Amino acid sequence: MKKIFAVLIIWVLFQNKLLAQFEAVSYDFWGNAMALNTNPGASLEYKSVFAIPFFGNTQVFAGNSAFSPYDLLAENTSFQKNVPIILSGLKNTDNLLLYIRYDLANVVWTAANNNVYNIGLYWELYNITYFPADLLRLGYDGNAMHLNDVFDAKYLASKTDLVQTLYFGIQKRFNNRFTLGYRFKLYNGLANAQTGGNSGKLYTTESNNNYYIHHLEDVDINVQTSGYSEHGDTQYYLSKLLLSGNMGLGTDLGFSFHPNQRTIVTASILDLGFIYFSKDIKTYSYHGSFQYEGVALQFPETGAQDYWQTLKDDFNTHVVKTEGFDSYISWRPVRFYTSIKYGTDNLKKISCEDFVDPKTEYSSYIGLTGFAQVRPIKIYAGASVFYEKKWSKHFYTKLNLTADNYSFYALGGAVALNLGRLHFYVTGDNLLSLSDLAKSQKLGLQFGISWISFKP
Amino acid sequence: MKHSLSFIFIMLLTGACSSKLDLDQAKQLDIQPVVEVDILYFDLQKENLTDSNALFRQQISDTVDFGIFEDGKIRDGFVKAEISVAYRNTFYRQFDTDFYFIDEHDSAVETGNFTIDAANSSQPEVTGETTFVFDKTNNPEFVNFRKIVVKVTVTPDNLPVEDKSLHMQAKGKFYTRITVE
Repeated sequence: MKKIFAVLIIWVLFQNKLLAQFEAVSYDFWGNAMALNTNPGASLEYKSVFAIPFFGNTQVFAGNSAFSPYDLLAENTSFQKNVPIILSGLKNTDNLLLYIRYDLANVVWTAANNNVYNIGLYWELYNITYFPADLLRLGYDGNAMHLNDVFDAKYLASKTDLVQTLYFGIQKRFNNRFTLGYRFKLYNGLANAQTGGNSGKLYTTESNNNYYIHHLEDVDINVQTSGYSEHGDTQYYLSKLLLSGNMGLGTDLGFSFHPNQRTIVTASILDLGFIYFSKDIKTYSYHGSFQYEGVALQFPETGAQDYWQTLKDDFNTHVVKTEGFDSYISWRPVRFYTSIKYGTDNLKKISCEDFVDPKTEYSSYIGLTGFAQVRPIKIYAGASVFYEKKWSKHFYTKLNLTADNYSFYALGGAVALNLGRLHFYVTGDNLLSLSDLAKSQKLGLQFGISWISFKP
Repeated sequence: MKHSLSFIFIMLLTGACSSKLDLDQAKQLDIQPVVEVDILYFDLQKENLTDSNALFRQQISDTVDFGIFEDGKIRDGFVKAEISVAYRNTFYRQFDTDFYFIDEHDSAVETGNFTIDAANSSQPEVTGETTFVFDKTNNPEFVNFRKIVVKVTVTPDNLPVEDKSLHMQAKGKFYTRITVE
């Protein structure tokens, strides 16, 4: 009864808007048959894994660091009034993120030499778009109340990738303490659109000739696209599934290390790679500077000057728009993970021998996870504490509490269930925001079904 | 502990819900941006007031195209315009200044005029500012103008012209209401 009461208290205390963690829950979750996806060097609980085709692993994550749907569209509130409120609190580093991963195939097997091999194929949609907050306020208000502000193009950043990835991985256990894993990845870029690393300023100063000088200074804006230019229907994308012509290489690396019996240290780096886009390319760029302080009237004795055309010609000369078809490289959004966990079984009976032989398994761990992802403008980073427990070889659970760029704390959880040799797992971000999805700024879900075999 | 976990699971399932959202509101958004921008300026010197035959030009004018209202959405979104004109005169002459807002048929849809006093020995520089206001209700034809004609008439109209100057500058503050769908 006391335990049920404690659980109820925890439920009540956590009825808050909580934010999510990008894969931090599933990382190092040792009951998960898909553990090698986040660390090729992870200790796998199973001898072999055959992901049920098309159902083996599905990941969906959507996040908005600035506001929730409720903030904008709550019933009995005014959308017209909500928009300026949200705009006033928007930061240039706020962003929208959408990530969908769908594994078509994933097979893992342990060879006689205890090396673990894995091969798989998945589709991935990744989009991150930053809110250029200052520019949005400029568009909403007009420039009249922003004459003293400087607007910077560096906050114009967005990246969308639709990629098919084929991988082959090897994991080698060097000894009882150290395991190293590697995945070689072949990327097939189906579509891409990106802009980032832009520069340029828009601002206004006082003028000696007129009221103001409006400055457009050192503009350097580039947009690159592939796969959007002419075709776009389903048949076209299906025809690209084998080889789109936009190919790339990448790698995942990871390890797990047992410094002693109770402690496990892991780390991984994922999607260290690139795609070279050379098909269906369309690029756009804007370069230059321009100043405007009104038209200077000359009062000619005869004839009329075409001031407006002269102004347009002057602008087009100084701010050049270029459209091109040059190939380009798109770097994959690299992710880093690391963790340290400590076995908590029989803590009262710790002896010196516990720190010698790492063979003994523990049924529960507490630990810390750190993670980071390279994104345009700003690196996303965070850390979490977790508790995971192996109830039996058929049932594993994990709870995470995370702090990151978006929130001071977020609660996530994972469950892995083996019904005979059929393995189910589900990972959820933002668990307790299920109490009100409309107020959630992020939701993440990962689930899959596999056919497994156990280690002897 | 197993019972506790089952309890948590059931609570999560039964607790999942969402506050109501009104998605129909997002079909359109009305915004009211105000744009403030320079329009024109000039510096009249004595060379501008005499022609190639050294005759006095009592009235001079110049024209600048202003095609911003050619766009139908901008025309529909127009609410009000405040055209501010500032000047600085060191001529010992008076200037009658007219701003004509001309449509594509060369007809004046709106006008604005003011007089600039002559400078003198006790007031060597005359400065001032005036503002014309045109709004959708009282000046519905304003959005039809496509060019601005500035006409300046000088008195007295005698030679020689002093080596002085008349500086004039104009900006516009445009109030709009735009529906974004």
